[in-house]
Amino acid sequence: MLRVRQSLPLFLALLVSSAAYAAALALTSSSVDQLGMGEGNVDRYYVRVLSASITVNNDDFNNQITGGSVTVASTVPGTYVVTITVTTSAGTRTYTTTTTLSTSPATITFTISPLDYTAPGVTISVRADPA
Amino acid sequence: MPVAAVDPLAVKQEMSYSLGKNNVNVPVDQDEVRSVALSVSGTTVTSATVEFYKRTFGPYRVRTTVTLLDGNGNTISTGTRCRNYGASTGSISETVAFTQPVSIDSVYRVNVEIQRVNAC
Repeated sequence: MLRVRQSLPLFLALLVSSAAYAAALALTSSSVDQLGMGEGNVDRYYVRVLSASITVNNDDFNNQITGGSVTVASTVPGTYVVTITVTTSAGTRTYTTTTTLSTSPATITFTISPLDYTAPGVTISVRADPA
Repeated sequence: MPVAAVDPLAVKQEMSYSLGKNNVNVPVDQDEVRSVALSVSGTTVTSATVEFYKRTFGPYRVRTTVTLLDGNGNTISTGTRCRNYGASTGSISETVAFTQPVSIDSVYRVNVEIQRVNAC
């Protein structure tokens, strides 16, 4: 009888912690369920680049691109890492920035180390990934 | 318990612009494109404003062509403008209307070419 009385606190402590554990487990499962159910509702975004321009160091034929600007929007507002890649036959330059994009176009001005603007031209790629 | 925010998934996360530069000797054509801006009504692309640099002195005709391509590299719309320009060199701005209205979300690549031509 004495042994039972001595073990009672330990038994109660075990009972309480088990209940707490079970509750936590249920809550976690519920969260996982929510995540699973939410997959179909994850926002899907389109990047919209509405303009692209370059800045050159002079008007000579053998000029160089020193920067430019792009206007960018996303169908899902948020913070994005925007990577601008400028490529000619002479090489590639990359500019990266973290910025807020929304459905209204935002202008991003960039500078790069001088890149020969060679024929047949330049390609400016703009990529946005969630930050 | 609140669930952590989930990053949006990309359907179209990249667009590219190709701006042309010429290096032709006969007749001399060393003009270059420096900018292009799409005009959008709602989500429909209606026209493009192109700025190019006319490098060679003397009057001549230039054809400006803007091509919109989808994610598979297929042309989905084009626009062309051809005009005779005066003798001076310098920056010229042209507006090119597209033959086929398309959604900006269908456009993955924009190509801009200019070419000196004998006749428009």
